[in-house]
Amino acid sequence: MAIQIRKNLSVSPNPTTLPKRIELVQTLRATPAEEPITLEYRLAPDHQIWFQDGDDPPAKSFSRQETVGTTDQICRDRVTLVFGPGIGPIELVQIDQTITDSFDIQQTDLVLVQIQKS
Amino acid sequence: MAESRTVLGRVIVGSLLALAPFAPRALRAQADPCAASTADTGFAEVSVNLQAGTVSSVLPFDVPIRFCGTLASGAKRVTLQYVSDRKNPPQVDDNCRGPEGAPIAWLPATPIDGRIDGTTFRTVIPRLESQRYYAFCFRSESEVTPEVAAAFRPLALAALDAGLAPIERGDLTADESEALRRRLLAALLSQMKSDLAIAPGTLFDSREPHNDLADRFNGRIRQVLEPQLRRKAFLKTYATLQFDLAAALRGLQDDPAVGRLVAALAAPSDPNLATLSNAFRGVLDAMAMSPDATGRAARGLDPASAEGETLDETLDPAVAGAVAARYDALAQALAGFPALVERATGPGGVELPEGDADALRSLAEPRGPVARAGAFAATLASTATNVQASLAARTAALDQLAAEVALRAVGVQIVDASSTGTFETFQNYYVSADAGLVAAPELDAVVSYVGVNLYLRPVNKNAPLRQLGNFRQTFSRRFAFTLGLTVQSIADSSNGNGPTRQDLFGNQSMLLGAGLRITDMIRIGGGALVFKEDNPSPLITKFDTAVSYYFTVSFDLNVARAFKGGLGGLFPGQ
Repeated sequence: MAIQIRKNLSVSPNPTTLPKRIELVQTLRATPAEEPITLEYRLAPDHQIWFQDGDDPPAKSFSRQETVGTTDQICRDRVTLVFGPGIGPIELVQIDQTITDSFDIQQTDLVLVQIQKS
Repeated sequence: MAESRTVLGRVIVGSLLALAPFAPRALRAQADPCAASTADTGFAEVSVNLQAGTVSSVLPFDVPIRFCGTLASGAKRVTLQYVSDRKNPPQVDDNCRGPEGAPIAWLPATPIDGRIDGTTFRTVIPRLESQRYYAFCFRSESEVTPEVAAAFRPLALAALDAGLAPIERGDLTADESEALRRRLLAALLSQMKSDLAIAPGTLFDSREPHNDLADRFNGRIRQVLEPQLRRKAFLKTYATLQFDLAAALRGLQDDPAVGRLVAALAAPSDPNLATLSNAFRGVLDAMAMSPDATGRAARGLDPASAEGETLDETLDPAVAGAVAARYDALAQALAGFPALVERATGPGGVELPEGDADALRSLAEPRGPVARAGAFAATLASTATNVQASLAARTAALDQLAAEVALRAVGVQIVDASSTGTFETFQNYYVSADAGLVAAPELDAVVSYVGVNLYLRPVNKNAPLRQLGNFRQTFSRRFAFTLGLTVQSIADSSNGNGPTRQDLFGNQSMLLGAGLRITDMIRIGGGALVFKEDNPSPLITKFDTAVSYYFTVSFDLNVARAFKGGLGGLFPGQ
């Protein structure tokens, strides 16, 4: 079953200072039937920006499971962006996303987060 | 009361008389905004003609100069820098560069801003040195016409597009962001005509520190980079998806049961089958495509045409939209396969060999090969739609970025001048006149004198000494040799034995000495007073030349001029 990206990945707040809990938002639709998907978010390994998911240690990626229906569905994933070891100071950071459906068909999307000096 | 009226009347008449000589000058001042002020402004006022590249006089040194000139209407800013040379006039081209475009170390490093009033500008430069050649670079800025701005916009857009296109990732450090801004600025500058500059305060103003613009710059850049990188990300999976779609379609086309179903419905004579064939024409065509047409369909092209631009080639949102529509149509067609199988294998359907119906139903299962092929086509439709949106978004963001490049028209004028002057100027700068009292204690005489002072360096007597440094720093501007003549005779009167001394020339004796200005107007000095003295020998009646020391206190005659009508009357001709 195919997944259509109806509205590209966005993030709020953007621009933002760090550390900050951000919300990743995207509108998806499955055709022709409801579809379980995996959403994986990644940051480049070498810079100073990291994800922190709840109480987990900072990481460069995290995943979410969703089930997408046949009507437009807004998927919201929240995570905290924090400073960690790596190259900096970073002013613009790219969050890559891979959507994998039940056929293992993958689609990619991304969003850029503007980091302001606190 | 009557006396009061009389006094008032005198004052008014006096004022009118005083105004009368200045009235024509006042009218001239209106006509020429750079006409010299009648009041002491504290500056040396110099008119500059930017078109001719000339100034109105030899440049005075040791005093601040206020240039005044006219600019084209609409000028918003004028700046001034200068360069000097002691031996030769500086060689400067029309763009304030040296021979063969060599850069010149203009002073000061930060250009001096002038003030603009209509088309008149005034700008003050610090004290110049004496006996030097100067070249002045005046840069004026005005807003460009809408036509010029409109003509430049596509050039700016192309430069920004080319500068941003090679960026592969959206992770930018502060240094990378600054370097990117510099690269984009360089690309923009290379597109500009020599008389254009980026307006102050705008995103690519080279005078603005990057830190001050970083948030604005990164915000604008993000809007361009995000769709640009998103398109690249979509296209990364595009090749794999195409390959998978083509493989899935060929697998279906190669299936014998599908082949027999397609053949049976290719041109059915039975009206019911013809209706069925027409209803499912899309999926039947997809199953009947040649390998070449299948490859073209998988790439999002029209299977029936050898022409077309693929999704990874095009930068045109409309082409990407057409590709998306073809993928979507293919996905929709494949989605009809289960219904086709159901009707074709049902009552009144196609006569198929035993086992074909089961094989076809197996292909049409919800997670079967046809659904998989349809999923590839639908995903590719989504990909193409997003590429289309990304291309449109990047174009819009680039357009906004190009709009940030606000322009100014820049005029550059070179003016050559010198503080060297002619012999007459030298004379004014090296020689001064003074007048005062000379005291010769040995002669018990105090008389007035006039003299000339010979300086060892050019001295601008309009430059207040206190503004030029302390006593030691201004010594060379204070010290001068003095040559003078007494105004009154120092001859003594006859005392019965006849006079004992006479003047050197007629009724005047000569002063030879040196002096120091202790203030701008007062000088003290000393030296030898030369006169004639009676020979002490009673046998000799001749007067010999003799000297005696003296001290002087004198006033600079420039100062005396300030008291014209009073003290100035003592020194006619000054």
